[in-house]
Parts: sequence; C-alpha cells; structure tokens
Amino acid sequence: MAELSLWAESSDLVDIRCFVEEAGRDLGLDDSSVYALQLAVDEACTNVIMHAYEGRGGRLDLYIDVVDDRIKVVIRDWGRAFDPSTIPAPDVDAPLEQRPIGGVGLFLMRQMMDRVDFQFSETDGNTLTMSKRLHRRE
Amino acid sequence: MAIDLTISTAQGRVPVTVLHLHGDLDASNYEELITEARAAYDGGARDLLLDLSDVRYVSSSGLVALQSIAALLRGDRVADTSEGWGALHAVDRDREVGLQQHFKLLKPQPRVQKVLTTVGFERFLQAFDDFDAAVASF
Repeated sequence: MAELSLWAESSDLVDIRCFVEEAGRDLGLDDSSVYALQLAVDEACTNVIMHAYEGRGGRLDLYIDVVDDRIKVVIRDWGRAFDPSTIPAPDVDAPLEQRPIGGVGLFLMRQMMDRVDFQFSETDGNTLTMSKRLHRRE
Repeated sequence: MAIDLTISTAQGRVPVTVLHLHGDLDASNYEELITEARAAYDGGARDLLLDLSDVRYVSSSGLVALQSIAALLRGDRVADTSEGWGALHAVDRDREVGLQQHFKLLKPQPRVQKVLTTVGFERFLQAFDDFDAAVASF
C-alpha cells in the first residue's frame, strides 16, 4: 500500500499527482489507468483543499492499494463536510455559455473511477473511498 | 505551481494573441491564466489562441480557466479571481451561443483532449493541430 500524509495546499497538487503516478506504476497499472487515477485523486484533493479547507491548508491522508482485482483509493481530511447529493451533474451537452462555470470535478471523479463514496464524521473526519477495476500493463 | 506562460501575436484576417502555456494547469495556477488572459483582453486582444502543445495535464480547475476565458472573449463579465472560488461560478453567460468564435485551442495533447471530450468542451472549443490554420480561422 502507498501512503501519503501532508498539510495540503494547492501548490502540493503536482507532488500529489507524482505520488499517484509512482504508486500506479509500482502497482503495475497501465498508462490509461494511471492517468485516470491521477485525475480522480487530483480532483478529490482539489475539493479538499479548495472547499473542505477553503484554501487555508489542512491535513490530508491518501492511501492507494490493490484489493482483490480493484485499485482502492482512500482520502481523509478534517475540513468542512459537504453533501455530494447537492452537486448537480453537469450538462455536458449544453453550450459553454449556458453552463455554470466549474462544477465538473465530482463528475470527472465519477467518470474516471467505478465507485466514489463519501463518508462524513464529526469525530473521524471526512473519508472518500474510490475504486476501479484493475487494468495492468501488458 | 506558478504558471509558465509566454505570449505572442500572429496576424491573420485579424490580429490573434497566442498564449503559449507550458506545464500542468490545475487549481494552483488556473487563476493566473485567467489573469493573464484578462490582461491581454484589457490590452486590446479580442481573438485568443491558447497553445496547449506543451501541457500534459488539465484538471477541472483548468477547465474553469478555459470557460472563464471563453466568457471574457464573448464580452461577458468574468469574476475577478480575487473574489474567490465561488464568484467564478456566477459570471454572466447569456450572449454568444455554440462554437466559440474568439477563443480557440492549439494542439491539445491526447490526455488533455480526453478531459475536454469527457466534459463536452470539444464541441464548443475548436482545436487545431496546425498553427497557421488556427490563426486563419479567426
């Protein structure tokens, strides 16, 4: 299992992506799966940094592991909780000028991963679990 | 990660301002790209080509920048990034509809193109592989 714990700010996102890439390679993922994992984790960490911690920085724990035939990602933070059911799915067919700006981070996470689950606890913080069927390099 | 950007101009039927972006575009630097585009617009630029040939990664924050620049070039009000994340979600968006005429992309890399396609931007933001063709299209 690959683990990373840091005081996360937006300037850390590039290092987080590098960590994910290295972890994905070590787990034998193919290029497409590594990129999907990077994008999903980056979006999740961006949400933590920008929304849960409102840009002020805060502790973020990231775990990446393989369980059975799935890659599993767990991200924990202790910032502000949010209700993902309040985030509307973007209309990707709508012209740009008819869309609200932004709001596609959660959508991208769900597109890149097979499962995205949020848990919020006042005592244990916020836990995001994502998983995706494993595609290894040939 | 600070943005790495160079700016040039090219003359087609109209003068075209070209923003050559280098490196990743994510939550750490998307505001800088909006600021640079706004400065170009304030300096008289009305047709803008964003060179993505040296960009290997664009997150949803980068997509916010693309949407904001498209809105800027349409003449819509774009929220000042100093107003915060939320303000960017509330810009005017009721003028030009469909394919953007004054903001286009040059050589998005396959992974970046995948993100653009996933969120449906490729139907509204023209992308060119050839620089001269891109300039001539304005």
